[in-house]
Order: sequence, then C-alpha cells, then structure tokens
Amino acid sequence: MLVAGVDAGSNAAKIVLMEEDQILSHGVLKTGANSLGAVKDLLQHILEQQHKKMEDISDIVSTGYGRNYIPFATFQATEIFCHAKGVFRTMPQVRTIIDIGGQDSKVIYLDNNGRVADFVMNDKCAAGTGRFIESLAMALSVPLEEMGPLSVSAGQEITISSTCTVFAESEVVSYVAQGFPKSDIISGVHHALAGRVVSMARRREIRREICLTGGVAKNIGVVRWIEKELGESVRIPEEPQLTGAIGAAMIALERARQQ
Amino acid sequence: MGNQSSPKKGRALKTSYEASTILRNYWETIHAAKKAGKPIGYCSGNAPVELMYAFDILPAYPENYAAVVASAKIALPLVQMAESKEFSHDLCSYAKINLGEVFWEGKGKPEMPFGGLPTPPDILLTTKIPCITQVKWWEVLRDVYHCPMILLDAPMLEGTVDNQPSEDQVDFVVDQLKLIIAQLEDFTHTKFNEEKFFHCLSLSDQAGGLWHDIIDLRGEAVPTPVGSREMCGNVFSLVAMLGTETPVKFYQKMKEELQYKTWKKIGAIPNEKYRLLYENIPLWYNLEMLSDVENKGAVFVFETYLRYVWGGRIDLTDPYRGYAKKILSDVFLNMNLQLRYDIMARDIKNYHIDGVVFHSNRSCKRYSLGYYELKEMLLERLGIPSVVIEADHSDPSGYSEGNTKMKLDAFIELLEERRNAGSRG
Ligand code: SF4
Repeated sequence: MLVAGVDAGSNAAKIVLMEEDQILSHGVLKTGANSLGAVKDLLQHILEQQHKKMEDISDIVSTGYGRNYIPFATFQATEIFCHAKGVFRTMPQVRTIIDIGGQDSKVIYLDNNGRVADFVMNDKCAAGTGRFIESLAMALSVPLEEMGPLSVSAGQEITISSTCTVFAESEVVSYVAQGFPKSDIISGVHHALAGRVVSMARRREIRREICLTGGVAKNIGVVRWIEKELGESVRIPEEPQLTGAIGAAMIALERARQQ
Repeated sequence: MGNQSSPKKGRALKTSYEASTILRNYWETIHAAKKAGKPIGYCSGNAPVELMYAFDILPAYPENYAAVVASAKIALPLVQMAESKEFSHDLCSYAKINLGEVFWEGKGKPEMPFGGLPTPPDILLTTKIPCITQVKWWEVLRDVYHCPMILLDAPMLEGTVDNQPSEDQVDFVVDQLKLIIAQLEDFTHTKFNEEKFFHCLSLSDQAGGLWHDIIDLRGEAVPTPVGSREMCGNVFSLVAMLGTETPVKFYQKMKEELQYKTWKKIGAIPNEKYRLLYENIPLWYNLEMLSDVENKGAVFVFETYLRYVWGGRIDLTDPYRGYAKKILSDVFLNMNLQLRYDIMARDIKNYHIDGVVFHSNRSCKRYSLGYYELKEMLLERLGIPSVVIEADHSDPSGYSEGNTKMKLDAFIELLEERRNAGSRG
C-alpha cells in the first residue's frame, strides 16, 4: 500500500513516500510564498524515481502551515500530531518532543501510549524559531549550515539578551564590531534560542526521553545548549526535518488501511 | 484531525436577526438625543448606568463602541494614531481605539460605524471594578472634554463559589452609590427620582436574569442550539441598553426560541462532538475563529466573558444592597484565581465541557492572569485539557492567524484522540 505525507512548512515543503511501514523515498523543496504549486511536481518526481504513478497512491495527508492549500491531499492534520506520530514510529520511549521549525517552536508532551497529552508553542514572534538563527547567520555572513560546526570551538560565553530578532541582530553586530570571535557570538545566539525554547518547555513537566525535531535539530550548537539547559541528553531522529511528513504519511497509511 | 467542510451559513436563532436592528436604533436614538441637546454620559461597562437613566442622562459606551469598531475591522489606524499621540503600546486596545478617534489628526480617518460616539459627552461615569485602565482613560477624556467625571470604587471579590460578597463590601458599594446620586444631583440640579431608578433596576434585573437563563439553556442543552459567534453579537443589546425595555423583550423572545430548540434537540451544528468553553474577551476582528471550529464538530457552548461580565439578577426587595451585590458579584475580572477556578470547575460540569480555550489577551491583563496555573489545575484535578491562544481582543496587529488556527486544530485533534482512546477503553 503506497501512501504519501506532505509537510508544507513555512520555509520548505517535505514529502515522504511510504510503502506499508517502510519509507520508500523523500524529497525537500525550498518554498516561497507562491511555490506551493511546485510541491506537486516534487511528488511526481519522487514517484517517477520509484517507477510509480499518482494513481498508485492510496492516500495523501498534508500537514504544516500550508496544509489546507495542498489540493491533492485527502486529509489534513497539524504538525503537532504528525510530529508525535513520526517520533513514536521509531522512538516509542519519547515523552517530550521539542520541535523548532522555521516559523514557530513547539513542545509536545506525550502520554505513555505516544498520544498528545498537551502542547505549547510560541506564537508571538520569531524569537524562539529557526528564523532567529537564519537572520543572525545572515547578519554574521555565515552560511546557515556552518553555524553549528563553527560554534563548537567557542571560547568565552557571550549573552544575547534581546528576545526580539531584530534587536538581537544589532547586539550581534555590536559584538562583531568589538572584535569578538564569530564562534563565540554564534554560540551566544544558540544559547539564546535554547534558553527560550527550554523555558517554554518548562511550562509543564518535561518527561524523559526528550526528542528534538525540526530543521534546527541538525545544528549541533543548538542541540548542545538545549541539553545543557535541560540537564538531559536529547534524541534526534535521523532526518529531523522530515518528522512531520513521516507522521503525515503514517496517518495516511492508517486511513488507507481502514478504507 | 479532520476534513474541511463548508461553513454553516445563516444564524442558528431567528431572534438573532433582530440584534442589528436594535443596535442601529440605539445609535439613532443617542445621536438624535445629542442633537436635541439632551445630556449624554460616557459610561464604562460595569458602571451603575441605571443611575444615569434616573437623571435622564443617556449613556454611551466607549468600550462597547471600540468593539464595534474592531468588528468593522478598522481598528488598526485608530490604534496607531493613539500610539502616535504617545499612548503606550501596552495600553488596552479599547482605550487606544477610542483615544485614536478622539485625538485623530490629519487625513485618512476611517469612516466610523454609526457616525461615531456622540461628542462631546456631558458627564463621565466609570468604575475600577474591571480595571484601573478605565479610570485613567476616563481621566484623559475628562481633560479633553472638560466635563465632570464620577467614579464608583469597589473592592475585589474573594468569596466562595456562591459568588457572594461580604456584608462590609456591600456596605461600601452602597455608600458609593449614594455618593454618586449626590454628585448627579449637583450636576443636573434636579432631585433624584428614586422611583425611576427602581424601575430601571427592575428592567436590568429582568434582562440580566433572562440573559443568564439563556446562557444556562444553551450551555446545558446537548446539542447546544447556538454557538459563540452568534451570541457575541447578541450580547450587544444588554451591554448598550441595560436598564431599558429593549433587552427584556429581545431576550424573552430569544429564551422562548431556545426553550423550543432545546426541547426539540435542534443543534447549532449537525454533529456536535466536542463542547468548548471560551475564556476571555473574543477577538472582535476575527469572530470567525469561534465558528471555524464548528467545521470539525466542535462548538463553543459557554464563554466566561458573556456570563461573568454581563447580566445577573438584582434583589429588588432591598434595591440598594441588592444592586451593590450584583455589581460586585458578577464580574470575572474582579475575582481571585481560586474563585475563578471554582466557578469554572462548576461550569465545566454543568455545561458538559470537553475542553477549554484560554485567550491570553494582551490588552486585558487582569482578565488573562494565571492562565497556565488554571490550565494545570483543570487538567490535574478534572482531567480537562485546554489550550492558550495569544492575541488581543481589538488590536489585530500582533495576531497570527496561522498559529492560532494550528493551535485550535491541534486542540481538536487532541480531544479526538482522547475520545478515541476512551472509547477503546
Ligand atoms: S483592560 Fe480589560 S477591563 Fe480594562 S478596559 Fe480593557 S478590556 Fe476592559
């Protein structure tokens, strides 16, 4: 039984193709405001690679901010549920998921059966999100992928105190002007993000194990700071940014099996 | 999780269609009165408006009007104008909308619904029951319009779930009412017409009683005959016309329609699955939010704002004390956290609530205090899940539609999972 999960996020669309419980293939597409149309092309491309056709798919579930704008999806579910499903598939011991996405961050608290018991998310601004790191990477003229590795060699601790992304940018610029090494500043940026996300997570009891999902989970600097702030180690899925799409595909599978 | 279905069109209650006519009539009457040279008083929501009628002063409500402006989706330029006049960004957006209109300078002023508030007011009446902002806001109006301002002071309620103030608290408010009467006699140079006052109190008592009956009827009924969005429109006649006959007739009719629908088990939505409680003031610029959940089988059946800010009975056998008690006991904002929890716990049971949506309202901080504590208490003690959305009742500038929709969708998914898990044992 062939199914697909589409995570139409604010920065990128992610598609996962599943044959029964196995992931066959996946694809990621950087999306802008008008490029949701390209999502279908991506799906078609993935299908072709697998020598499959659109008609072979039994069910398609969409998630993410653009979930209601994927016309070929038969069902929509929020990222919160898809992340819970996606994580539970390979890590059933996880009870707390911290998801740092491009536009928001969420903490999902699971019960012992892997069901969502509660969730919190930031919804005021970009402060606790991937966008925070992106704009500060830009201010520092450092490619996003290098932010993590660069921060590992940081020497002294630098504090970025402003919650506002724009104000944090000027703090960063002033540290650069004062001659602080980039690695120290980047580490300060990661620390600031981790501090915000962990304080949000503490609104409820954080039960172990803890899993980090979303694209930011690939950034080793953020991961280390989150672990330090939590006083716990965190688990990271193999492809953390695909968690939502995997969850969506699993819901599609459940639906297809019921039909 | 769920498929999108098309939203339900039209009103659930026939009586609701009369609300807009009532509103229009109110505005026509008050503008005509101003033209005819009759005194107009600006009143805040919980101020003793029946005393104004007793002195033939017609009340206008800047807060209520700000909500009208926000519903017309023209709040933003007014809010920005107020901020440009150095009113703090953190100020309640009701105040900013009103002050933006009062201090408007230059071109581009939006066309104000119903021709705007009648200006200038002749007198100002306010209270600190819901918040101090109202007092400071009215002081600015006093400085602008150079008219007298009267203030009703009242203590915070720390009662029991019966929601009763202490005798001392009642004495205090009775003294305040007497003082206001003396001030109004001074202002109008007329003697207080107690008979007229008692008559207005009786009308308020009837309207307030009917309103609470309506809330009970729709809250207790499974399925509920009417959702929140429609009821937020229906409260306007109570807010703006308390102390008159209009809301009495309107709500009597509505009550009868509800009794019929409840008896016939006619629901507001075709397949009611989840019953929600809404806490705090609605997003006037996005009332759709309240009905969007209905596409997923969820419906708001009870709102603390509609019940614990508006309406309520008055013990007319002892009118002054009865009135003081009513003023003190029915305002959620004027209660401590424990009392709020106790009341919510009772209502959750009475109205068969499955989940609670807290609106953490940037404007109304006193209303929004303690939500994460309440959230935890509800889950731990009653097993009732809840979600907190962050927004503002009238200023749309900090509102994130995508985030809020996602939270509400996820919340309904959570309710669904809980229900499925329960039915699987
Ligand atoms: S702060 Fe709250 S109680 Fe005070 S005026 Fe604004 S909405 Fe009303």
